[in-house]
Formats: sequence, structure tokens, C-alpha cells
Amino acid sequence: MDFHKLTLHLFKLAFLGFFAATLMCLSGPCYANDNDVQNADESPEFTRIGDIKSGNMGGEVHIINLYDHQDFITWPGGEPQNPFSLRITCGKCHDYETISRGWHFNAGFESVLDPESGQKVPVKIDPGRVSEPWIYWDCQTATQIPLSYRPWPGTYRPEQLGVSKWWFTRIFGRHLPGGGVSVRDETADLDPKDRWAVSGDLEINCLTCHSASPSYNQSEFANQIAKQNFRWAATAASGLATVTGSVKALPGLWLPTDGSKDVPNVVYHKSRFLPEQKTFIDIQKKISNKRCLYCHSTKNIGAHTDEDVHLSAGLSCVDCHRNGLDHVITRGYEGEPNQPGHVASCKGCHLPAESSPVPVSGRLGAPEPAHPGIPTVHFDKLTCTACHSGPWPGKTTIRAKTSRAHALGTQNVNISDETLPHIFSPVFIPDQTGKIGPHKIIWPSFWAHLKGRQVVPIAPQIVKEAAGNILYHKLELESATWPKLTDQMVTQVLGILASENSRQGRPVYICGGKLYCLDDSGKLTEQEHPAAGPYAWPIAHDVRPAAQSLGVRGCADCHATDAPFFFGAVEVDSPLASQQGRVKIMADFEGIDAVYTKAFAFAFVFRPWLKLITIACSAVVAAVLLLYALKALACLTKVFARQDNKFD
Amino acid sequence: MLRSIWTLGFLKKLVYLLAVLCFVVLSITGFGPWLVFQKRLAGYWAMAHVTFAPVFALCMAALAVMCADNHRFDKSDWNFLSRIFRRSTLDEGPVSNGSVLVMKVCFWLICGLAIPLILSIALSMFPLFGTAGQKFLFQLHRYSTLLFALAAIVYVYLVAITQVKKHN
Repeated sequence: MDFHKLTLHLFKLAFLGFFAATLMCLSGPCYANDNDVQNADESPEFTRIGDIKSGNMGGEVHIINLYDHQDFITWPGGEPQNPFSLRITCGKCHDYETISRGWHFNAGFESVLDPESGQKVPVKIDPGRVSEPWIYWDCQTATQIPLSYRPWPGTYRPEQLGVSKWWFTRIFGRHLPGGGVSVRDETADLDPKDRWAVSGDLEINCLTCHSASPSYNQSEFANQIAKQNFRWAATAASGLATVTGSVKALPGLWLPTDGSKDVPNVVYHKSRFLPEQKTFIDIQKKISNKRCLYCHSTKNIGAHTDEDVHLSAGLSCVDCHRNGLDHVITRGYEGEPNQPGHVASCKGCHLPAESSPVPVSGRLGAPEPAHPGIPTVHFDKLTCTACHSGPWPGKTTIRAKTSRAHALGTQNVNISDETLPHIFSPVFIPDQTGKIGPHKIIWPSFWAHLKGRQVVPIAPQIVKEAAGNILYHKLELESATWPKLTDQMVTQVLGILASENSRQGRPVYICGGKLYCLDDSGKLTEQEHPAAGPYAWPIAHDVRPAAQSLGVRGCADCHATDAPFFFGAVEVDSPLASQQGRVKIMADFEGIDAVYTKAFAFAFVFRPWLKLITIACSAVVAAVLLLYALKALACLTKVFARQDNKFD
Repeated sequence: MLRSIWTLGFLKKLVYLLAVLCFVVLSITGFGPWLVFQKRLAGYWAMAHVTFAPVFALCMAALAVMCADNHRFDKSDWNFLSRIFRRSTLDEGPVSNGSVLVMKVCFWLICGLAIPLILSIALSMFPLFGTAGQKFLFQLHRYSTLLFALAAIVYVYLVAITQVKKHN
């Protein structure tokens, strides 16, 4: 077969192949309809009068009696003046049992008592998307570790750190609304270190969210938790009474019959009470933003951020983060289970729902974004928040402080920007859907035992006792930040831990994204380990206005060769003196090849030329087409003219 | 009559070859990811695609200028069509052959399709079209590419046939 015939055959094959390919391409990919709406159960069975919607939008005025935990009315003239129990008081008209399984209370909710069998039946609560953990930190042992009762990857259960539910409430109750783990499990064995008997339960404090009274003081609530006055905390915060005394000051083996000047004492304010032993409690169904923000505030250090654009527009947190009687709050992320998809997320309000029989976009005045000039691939690869939320990304990440991590809003809190835990923001990382979005991160730092590939944290108290004088003493530390830990100190502590209990596994220290352990010769070595990676949780707020979103100045906002979105420096936080000052580039977290990202960004240098060349070429081709089209037209006119001449 | 590409000047040959090379690369990088991996164009494939695209656009403009006149429809084509449709078999001058006519049609189709093909992407880079517009431009690029590629393959195939016949 000669070359020309071969060429012909090849062309025939190519043509047939191309024809088949064309058919395949025209058939097109099938896209799943991501706007399918899951309707939440909106008709629960109401068992209490207060849970039935009357339909009146004016709201209810709560002039009510207050009941203590033994179901007795408590008031200024009563004796003794017990703290009121919101479980009993609110439970008169509202289904406390149902509410107690809501999102804010169900973190440690693992089983329910079956009334028929008397046995505990396990209950599975969907942990949902990863979120901000409770961060346990300790300067002396250079520990900061994310804790959660929800099984979010990267978090540890408090028990693993030796933190019982009582101690968890004692440490973090300042920003807990009560209920859940803060109520003693009557069926569980009592730990002698726990003081449920004297502190009482921290029942759900409905006022934490629902109080509209300007005299409601959540800071006082935190103060009472610090004094271990769990049962008294809501009463003290309500502004209806003053609580003195402290359970913390009572001896360890104290009994109520012993009496003490430190026993918490309640004095109700007479001026706040009405006849018939009633009082007016200013309760609102639509919760005010400041109630939410007490626990959900972020301070971005070194970056000025305005209020979330939605709040500035007059919306409130609960306009989006809604709930029914079950108090399962809509968290608002895409793909959230059991939530009505047309309201739950950014898309729910801002984009039209293709599958909805009635128009649902534009709710609460949400504008539909035009996104001019933004290729649609961005919507497949990025979350809405990537461009619209959190602080504007800079050359390096900034530190952030949050209410729950840094006890913001409580009395006597360390307001230094350096204080632990160290949170960095914004870091662009793929979320559970695979889309890149802004996150806050912490670098876990803790002592642990390595069993196979599994890391089991060691309680800081055990490390302190083992380390003796090797680690810094509390008084030697200047501030609540990292101590200057040397490699030698880590080597010594690991050596002691190894000698004390080798059966629990190999002692390791995790910090700065690395796992440190001693090799066979007793030398400190570092290695990569998944447990050493940063714990990240998505940033949803504060949402910036459209005019401050990434890309508003053009592609170079993200695609310049030094754009922070890809090439920003992320601080790798470590207490190890030898590791301080290390950074990683953002692309490492985004799961994108750094070389490709750089080359791609470099291509944008030539983008203006590309635009110019392609448009100029189109113009030339169009001009040629136009020229010959006109020539063809001229021919036609000549033909018709000739035909006319023939007839003439 | 249409002149053979082998009789073209060096510059024209170079542009032809470059255009064919770019066409092959753009076809592979454009259709390959979907046909092979069922993924949309991204990564290094996209970079190669974008690198060759402006060169191809330049070649298209150059070929349009250099070859348009050679691909004019003339009386011979009209006579051929007339013969096909049996309108007139009288000797009214030279008669074209079918492949030449199809080549000419393909050439003008290529030129015509090149405009939406190029502009659909060039315009999407300006802040003129919103999401719906972007989606439309993308689909326009996609389908105009398919038609363009079909026309280009037919055109090159016919050129090859012409050359083979000439050599035989």
C-alpha cells in the first residue's frame, strides 16, 4: 500500500471516529438536578399549648410564674429562694423533651431511655458538616487540640483528654446553652472528680437565645459556670435575681447539711415581680442577633471587617438559620440533610430553583447575582463563600479569635491577640463537597501514644506529672501563648513517657503539621501523619458586599502570579522553637499542583494579548466573509440585470 | 479553478501546516478529556488548548485572507449544480467537479464557523455576559467546534484525495 492510499484510509478512519465522537458529545453528559428539594417534616405533633402557632404575628407576652427544679413556685417572698428551672418553667407550655434534641443540645446525645424496657437505646445524630470544635489548650504542655462530641474527622472526644462531661461543662459551659452533656446522666457511673451533686445540672437555658431583655447578662452566666454554680447560672444571668456564693469554694466532700457561707444564695429583685408571684420575662421567638453573636463572633486580628452584609441589610441570623419546634437549626450549607433545599443555602435565596413549582428565589430581598464575565467552571470548583465570605485574603493568613475558642465576652478573659488557641484565617481548602472555600484552621499540638497508625492523646495532666521540671512551670510563662519548646525538651519528655508506660503505645508529640517521636537510638525524628494535619472548618460569615468579592477587580484577584488565593502564605504554627516561622503556600491546601497553578497564573499575563489576537482574527475572518458576500451579491445583481436585458 | 496547496508559496504551506497542527492539538485537548476521561477541559489540557488557540486563530485569519479568492464560487460550480439538478445540460462553459465544490463549501463553512468559535470564548473573557450568557457562550463554542471540526476534516480529506489522484 503506497503512502497516499494509507493517508486516505487514515482520513476515512479519522472521519468515522470523529463522527462517532460527535454523536457521543452531542448526547452530552447527564447532570443531576442539584436543586431537588427535600421537604422537612413541617407538621410535628404538638403536645404543649405554647408550641401551637396561633397565626398571630404580634408575639406573646410572658407574664408567668417561675418554678424551681422541684416544681415549686419561686419568688421574692418565697423561702428558700431557689434558682428557677427553665426545664420546669418553660416546660409548662413547651415540649422541653423535643427541644432538648435540637442542634445546640444534641452533641453528646448518644442514647435514649426506652420507657418500656428501661434500657438505653442508641440514637444516631447526623454530625453534619465539620464545624468549629471546642479547643482545649494548655500552655505548659504546649497543647491545643480540637474536641467535639460530634464525630468530625480531626477532632477528639473530651474523654480522651481526661475531660469528663462535668469538666467539659465547667470549662466550656460559658458558651454552652445547657442541656445535653451538661446534664448529669443518671444511668452513668459517677466520677468522684465530678461535682454534679453540688453544682446541679446545667439545664437548657432558654434565655441564652430567647431573652430580649437588655438586662440579660450572658457574661454573668459564664461567671456562674466558672464558680461551678451550674444550677444557678440561668437565674443569675436573667437579671431577675442576684446570686452569691460559689460551689467551687465548697470543700470536695461537702454535703448540703454541712452548711457554708459559700453555698450559692439567690435574692430575687422585688421590683421585677408582679402580683400573684408572677414576673414579666421578655422572651422573643425571633432571636436577636446579639444573642447569637455572643457565641458566634469572630475577631479577625489586623483586618478590619464590616458587619455581615446580610445583617447590614436588616436581616437577622434566624432569617436563614431557622428551626421548628425540634430546634434542629438550619446550618445553611449545600447538601445539608433534612433541610428544605430552597431556603437552606446561599443558592436557596439568591438563585432560582429549577425544580420548584413556584418562584422561590429573591426571598427576603436577595438579589440574583449576574456574575458577568465569570466562567461557569468557577461555580463547579468554588463555594459561594470562596469569593464572598471571610476576610479578604492577604499575602499571609491572619490570626482570628472566636467567642468559643477564646472565651470572648466573658469576664477576666485574656484579651491579648497572642493568646492560645492560635486560629488562622482564611485558608482555602476543599470542603465536603469538593469545592474550595475559605476555612479557619488550627494546627493540633498535643502529646499522644501511637498505636499502629492510630494516635491516642495523652491528658495534659499526665504529661505535666511525668515531665516534672522539664517543661516550664506556670509562673515561668509570660503570656498565654506557646512556650519556647526546644527539641531537647521534647526528647526528654518523650523519653520519660516511653519509660513510664510502653504498653499504651509509642509516645509522640504532634505539632506544626508533624509527628515527632524518638527513634531506636533515642534521637528525635519527625514524620508526616494525618493526625498532624490542620483541623479546618468552613467560614460562612461575615459575607462581604458584592463590590468586595474576589474577582471584582478582574481575574488577577486570584490568577495573578502572586495572588493570595493560590500563593498566599499559611503560617504553620508550632511551639517548637526550631520550627517557628514556617509557612506553606495556599495551593498545598487546595489540593492543586503548585507548578501547574504557577504556570496557569503566568498564562494570565498574556490574557490581554489573547483577547486582542482572537478578536482581531475574528474581525479579519468576518471582513473576508463580508467582502465575498458582497461580491456574491454583486454577481447576483448582475445576473438579474442580465435576465432583465434578455426580456427587454 | 482551485489551486493545489502544493503550488502555494512557502508561507501559505507553512500556515496550512501550522493550522493543521493546531487543529489536531486543539481537537485532542478539546475533545480528549471528555471522550477519554469523561471530564471537562481543565488542568494541563486546558493550558495546551489555550496556548494553541490564538495561534490557530491567527492561522485562520491568514488562510481566510490568502485562500478566500481561490475558493470563490464561479460559473463552473454553477454549471456543476445545474447538471446535478438537471436544469441545464447545455454546454455553458467549464464544469467543476463535486469534490472541488464540497471543498469550497467546507472552506466557507470553516470561515463562517470560525467566528462564533473564536468569539464565544473571546467575549466570555469580558465582563459582558452573566452566568446564563456564559453558559450559552460555552454551548456555542462546544457545538460550533463540532461543526467546524467536521467541516475541517472533510476539507482536509478532500484535499488529500485531490493530491492522491494527482499523483496517481
